[in-house]
Amino acid sequence: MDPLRPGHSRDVSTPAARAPEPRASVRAVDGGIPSFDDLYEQYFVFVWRSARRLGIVDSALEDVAQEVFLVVHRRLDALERGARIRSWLFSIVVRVVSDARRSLRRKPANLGGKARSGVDVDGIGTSAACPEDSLSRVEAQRVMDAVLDGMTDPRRQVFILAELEQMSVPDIAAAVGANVNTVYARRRAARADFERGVARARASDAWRAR
Amino acid sequence: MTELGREAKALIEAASGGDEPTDENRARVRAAIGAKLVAAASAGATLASARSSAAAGSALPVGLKTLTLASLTLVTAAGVGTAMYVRSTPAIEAAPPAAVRTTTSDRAGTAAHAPALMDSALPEAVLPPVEPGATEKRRPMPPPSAMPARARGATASVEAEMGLIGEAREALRSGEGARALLLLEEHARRYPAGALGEERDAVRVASLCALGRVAEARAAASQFLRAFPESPHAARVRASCTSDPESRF
Repeated sequence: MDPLRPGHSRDVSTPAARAPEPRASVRAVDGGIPSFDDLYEQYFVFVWRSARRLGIVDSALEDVAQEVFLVVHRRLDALERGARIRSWLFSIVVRVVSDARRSLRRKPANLGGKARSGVDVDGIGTSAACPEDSLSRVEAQRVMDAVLDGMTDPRRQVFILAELEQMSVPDIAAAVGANVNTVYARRRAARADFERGVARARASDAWRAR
Repeated sequence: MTELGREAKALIEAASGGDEPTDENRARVRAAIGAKLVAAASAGATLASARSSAAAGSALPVGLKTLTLASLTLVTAAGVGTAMYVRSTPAIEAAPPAAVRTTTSDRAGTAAHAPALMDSALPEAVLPPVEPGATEKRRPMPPPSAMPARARGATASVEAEMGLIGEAREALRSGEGARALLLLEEHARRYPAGALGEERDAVRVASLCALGRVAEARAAASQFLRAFPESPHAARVRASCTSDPESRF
């Protein structure tokens, strides 16, 4: 039998199991609880890039993604119909990343100087010729990493979900365990942080649009 | 509302798609998860059947069906009154052993990172954030003898935690609420930063309810919901005697 297919029932028909919890944005195709396989197929990329954006070094992403999905597997029975699946998954990613961060996270960003991951931000943009007003993806990614690494965790989480994942504020609130007003405030602050980070990177000539 | 500026948007656009996994990443992680689940299944089966101390090291991989059976056994053991709660948590206790780390070991390209990952990363934090040495100091519950190497320490700790929580549930089912509380307190002493603190606190609310100590249960429930607002047990805690004397746990 496929060990990735939990065989136990996911009957959530008991009253207590229906008690409202703040989850839900991506419903399973059939409106029920998705299988582990479905979750893995649909959200592996989301989990991966979320972990990366939260600062996990590339060499550790497989381990972190693995741990996230092990937690998903353990917790799947608690998932409710119509749950905000991305919010739920992101909250798990945050927890795993938070626990793992010391050894697996990129070093703190220092825009204008050396970036945490050993990337010299000053060197970015000096290599390949870029299309007009754009960066190569690799260069852009490095700058992005450095800017995100310079943000506080709460703001970074909200920024990732709001600006990079285009999630709604209620979904973000569910993902980060904060109320919507807090999310709005963090999003505003995070945008300002991001703008500053980008400006600093540019000012230091770390990268330039031609 | 303040939108991002042009330059910031351009950066996001330019970086788009730059942080996605390859098909190989996807396949390797999946294979590693499969291996871990099989290993976890044997650990879970062991716990459910007897919590005998020798099991963790000797159980053979038996597949997820056994994990399911183990979960059901836990539900049965916990009894009707606690079935709903236990059903929501079965495999949390059957935490995957840290020993199976096929993802890293399978990767030739990143093999150099393996020791660091195995030694410090996930076993230390992700699986059970348990203080090293705690099990040795304080007479771990089920299987200390079966956990020789440091690499197995995390698994051993989680299983020991599972043993205590499982005993507490059984005590609760048997109407021994006071004993359940003692076991939970023991868990708290041994594993102040244990992997199953959330489960412990949820069972504690139920135990206090069973003893009719509603005020304490209410305080414990409130504390629980503050600490773990997103917990899968939150609904059960909310539905406990702290809000409805007739509700079951």
